[in-house]
Amino acid sequence: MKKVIYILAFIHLATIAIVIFHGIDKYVHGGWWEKPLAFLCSINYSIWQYGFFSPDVGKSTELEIKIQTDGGEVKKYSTLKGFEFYTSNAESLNRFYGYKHHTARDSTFLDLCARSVAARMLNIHQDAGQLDYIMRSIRYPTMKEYQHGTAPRIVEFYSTTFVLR
Amino acid sequence: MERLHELWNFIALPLFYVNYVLGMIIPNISTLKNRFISFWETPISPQPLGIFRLAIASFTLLQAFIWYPDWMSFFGPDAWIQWEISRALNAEWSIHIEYVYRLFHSLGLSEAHSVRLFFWIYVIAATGLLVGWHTRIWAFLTWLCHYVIMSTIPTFVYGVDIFLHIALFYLMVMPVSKAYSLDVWLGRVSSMPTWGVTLSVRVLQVHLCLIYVSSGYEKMFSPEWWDGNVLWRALVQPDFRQFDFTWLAKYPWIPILLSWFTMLIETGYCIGMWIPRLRVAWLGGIIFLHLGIGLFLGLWLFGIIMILLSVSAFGWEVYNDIQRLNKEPLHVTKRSVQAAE
Repeated sequence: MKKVIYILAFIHLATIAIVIFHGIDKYVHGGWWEKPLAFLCSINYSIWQYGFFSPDVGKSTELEIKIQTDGGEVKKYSTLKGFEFYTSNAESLNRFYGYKHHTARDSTFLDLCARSVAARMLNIHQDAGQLDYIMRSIRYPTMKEYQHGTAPRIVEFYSTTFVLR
Repeated sequence: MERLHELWNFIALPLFYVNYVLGMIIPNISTLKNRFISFWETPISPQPLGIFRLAIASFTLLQAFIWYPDWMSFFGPDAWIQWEISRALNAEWSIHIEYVYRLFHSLGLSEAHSVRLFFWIYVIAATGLLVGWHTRIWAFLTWLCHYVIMSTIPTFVYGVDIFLHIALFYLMVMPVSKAYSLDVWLGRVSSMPTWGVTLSVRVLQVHLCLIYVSSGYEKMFSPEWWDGNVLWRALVQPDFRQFDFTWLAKYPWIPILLSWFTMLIETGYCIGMWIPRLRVAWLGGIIFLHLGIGLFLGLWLFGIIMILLSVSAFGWEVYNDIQRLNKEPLHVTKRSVQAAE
């Protein structure tokens, strides 16, 4: 029994090491190994690469929601201007960084998530007739460029409108 | 003749050094083997595992209570990402909170009540794990609840959840009730050191070494980590900005030094943490790094869990190093006095 436990422990550590150093990338992201490895990952995250805070962290995303009421009033909510998804604390708000990052991956996923967020906002604003959902990527320049007056680059990459009536 | 002499030195000298090094290694292979086996098998105190359990269970409860005011916004049927969508994102083996609702629905509970009841089950499980009573059962239940959480909110998961999931898995399989637990107090579990304790501590230590090495080494491939721009952008971008750090652009040497420090402390973790005394400074560096992440990027829970993991894995050894450091000056003074006499 002791030998079995030691073997399992070494297999576990070896798996972590191989995945971390990209030894089985082609199996993790394709082929018939993909599902068993994904299942194992869901149990204990041994199939996980920890390259977070590597190059991509410099990008930020703005989410703007415009709500038009039946009376013609337009309410604007922007994550750049204090919109915090009605969260009660900073920890809950932190999770929306992950939301903006994950959803920006492909347009179908973005459509589904936009619909979901729109449904929630329209339930909060019972008098709303139309909702615009806009996402913009923000890329800050380098320190040298910033010193020379280069402004952050803001690019709109997604926009959709939901009309109730 | 001189050329022959030079040729002889060119060939023979390296061979001499190779022979010298091999002479050192070969008789020591058996010692190395014994040390390797001893490293993984010699029973050590279960206290680090007890601390690991207390730390992670407390963290789980802290995170749960911070989350509670927004619980329905993340997990309710009308959450920011509704159940129909979050369920569609899941794999076949995931356990979405909707399945939990279907289980409770048979008891007559509504969706909202089921989600709230799930929260309290999670809290009770983490409390059972904290006090260490029938520990493995509560560890499994806590891990299972966290599995449901991860399945329900995949779009909102980030680093803190991944590390908590890893830790909860380890709490489920490791003998974490052998110290600071009701199980020991009630005599259900022995607090004696065993090979299982040693193996568990070593697995946790090696896993952390791999995590930090990979994190540091991935950063090293990015020129923007070397010139400080990644750190500067992280500090000024709206998602993480806590204070106005745009002025740092005038003093680029500060982000550069901090970036190099980060890469050094992470990549060197797998070496620094194994050298007695040096690991005191290394653990200090890791704590400083993660406190900085909490203070300047607002990722407090992430910073805390990373500190707790390192303290659980290496804290006991660091504590022993500090004890030895405190005892040594007296010993040196005695020797100095004797030498003087």
